[in-house]
Amino acid sequence: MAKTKAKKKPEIERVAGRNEKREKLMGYLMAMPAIVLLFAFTVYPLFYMAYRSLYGGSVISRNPKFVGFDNYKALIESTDFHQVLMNTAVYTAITVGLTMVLAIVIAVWLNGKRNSKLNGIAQTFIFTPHIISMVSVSTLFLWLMDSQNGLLNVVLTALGFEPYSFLASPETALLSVSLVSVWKGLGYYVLLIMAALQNIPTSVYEAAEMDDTPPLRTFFKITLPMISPTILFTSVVAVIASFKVFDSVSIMTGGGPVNSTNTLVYYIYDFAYSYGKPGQACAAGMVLLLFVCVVTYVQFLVGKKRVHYQ
Amino acid sequence: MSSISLKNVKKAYGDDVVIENLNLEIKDGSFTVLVGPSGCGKSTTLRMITGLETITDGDILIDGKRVNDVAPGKRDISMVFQNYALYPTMTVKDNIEFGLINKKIPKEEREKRIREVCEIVGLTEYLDRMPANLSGGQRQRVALARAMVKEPKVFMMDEPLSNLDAKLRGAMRVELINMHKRMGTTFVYVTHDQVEAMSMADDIVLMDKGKIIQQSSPAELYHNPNCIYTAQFVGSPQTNIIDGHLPNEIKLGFRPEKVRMHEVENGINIPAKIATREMLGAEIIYSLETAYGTIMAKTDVDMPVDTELKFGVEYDNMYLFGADTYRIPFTAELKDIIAVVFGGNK
Repeated sequence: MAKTKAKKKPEIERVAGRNEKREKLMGYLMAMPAIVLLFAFTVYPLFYMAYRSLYGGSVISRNPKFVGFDNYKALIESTDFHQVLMNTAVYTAITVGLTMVLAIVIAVWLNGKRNSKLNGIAQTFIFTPHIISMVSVSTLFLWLMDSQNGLLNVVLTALGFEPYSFLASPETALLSVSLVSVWKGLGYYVLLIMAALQNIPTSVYEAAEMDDTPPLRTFFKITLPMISPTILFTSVVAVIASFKVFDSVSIMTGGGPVNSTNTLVYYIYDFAYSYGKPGQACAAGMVLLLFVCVVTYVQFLVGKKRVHYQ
Repeated sequence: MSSISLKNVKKAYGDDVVIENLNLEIKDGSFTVLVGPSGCGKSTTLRMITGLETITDGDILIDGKRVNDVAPGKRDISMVFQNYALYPTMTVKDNIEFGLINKKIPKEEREKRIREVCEIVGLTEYLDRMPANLSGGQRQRVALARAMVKEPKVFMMDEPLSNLDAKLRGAMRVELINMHKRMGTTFVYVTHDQVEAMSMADDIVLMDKGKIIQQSSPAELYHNPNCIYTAQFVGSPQTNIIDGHLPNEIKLGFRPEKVRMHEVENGINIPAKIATREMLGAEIIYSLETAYGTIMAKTDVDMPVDTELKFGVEYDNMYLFGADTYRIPFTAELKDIIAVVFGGNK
């Protein structure tokens, strides 16, 4: 008896092992299409960008010359690039700051009137811009903000003000582009925050009511902490999206006037395709990557202290 | 310490009237339990007293003062919720302290009260924990501490023990009774569990379909039910009702524990056969097949299944209910009729 048992056991284990291997292989096979795409369009370009940032030459050069960190040096020394970084930072600060504050306020407002008809209509209006393409939105605002025939200026003139060139003056161009992004993105963030708000049990609010909590204190001490994981997530997504802004800049201002709306991705595009300097564009791409990594890391670091996961 | 009275209170959601013309007096310092099946309006009544639910009509008075338009936080009431409703992003201490800060109580006083309360409920070593890291019983204690620390006039509890396991529930029951004794505050407690109601209350309000069926002490409720509903709600197995054998649709009721497994002198004796037998330890529950339907009996007499016997019920242990299911007096005339119909001694 003991002998047959001893003989049989490894046999069972072998079969089990074979099945396990087959299962593993099957798993990899299923994930393969996604993995291939990921490698082809994300991982490989990333490494190629790092590699190419060390070479000079133009887009059509057969054998670009190795230049070491010269591309990076050129970036650091370029005042244009400094301005581009500044523009990107300002654009991100305005867009993300305004979007988050407005999204939270609107979501709380909509959530409070959960049952009213107005709520559904308001929600639709706020969400609709999200499903329109950025190109259409940009084109629309290009006209709205036009210095002569734009609707905004028609209204201003009718009210007795001087017409204003929102997109043509360096002082307001970046702000104008930011506002368009806020308008377009707001609905999406409102929706995410509303979902988080609806997860807060009503009994917690009732407990706060029994504790005689003033409305503002309820908001800051109960509502805000309870949706903090969603706020962290949405702000990370919003920051990354802002760093990557391209289409609105390309259509509405082309980086101008006097470089005042030139942001990082537009700069990269310009260097690669307008000036034909892929090396320097790749170096700028590496800077963008670094920025995104650092900012996201910092956000999660802050989040660890401030975000309450339950 | 304070009394509560509800006068002609009505609650409707749109056209759906859930409570109509409710009148209720809750005595100062009492442990009053609102009990009834789910949907009977007991939780709604509690929430109307707290102010979390508005009332459609009528008046609510606390200590003789009309509070219809007073905000929940200003009624001097504390509440323990069924799911505890702790603030999940705050520590135990912050949870307990939150309401005190709202009331602008000075820090020293707050610290003192928190220390005292936590000692009573045994939370002292958990003050820095988050609610998510506590067991069900500990969360329950935080909810109690949060309610106690405000030193309210009235203490409200909405099925506070229903999320605990049976053993813990029993222990908490005793603790709540002690707490009420020590604090002397008015307690209003909602439950669907008749055992909980009977064991804790000094005043029980039995409700059904938005109406108060009977309000009395547990003993009174058990010994003197005013209708079939009450008689059957309290006690397990429920009161036997024999219907269709007496004139004027009069129904005869008696509790299973009042069934004697032998013939009695001053009562009726009915032939029966034991159909089932449930051994509970100290007691045995029998179901008896009779000409009047199945009768439940609870006794310590041990008999095998299929035994044929004549069981007895004394006249003193019988309730009579009229056609409207409400209690009617046990007159000498009715006694004679019962003796004739069921074959008893006069």
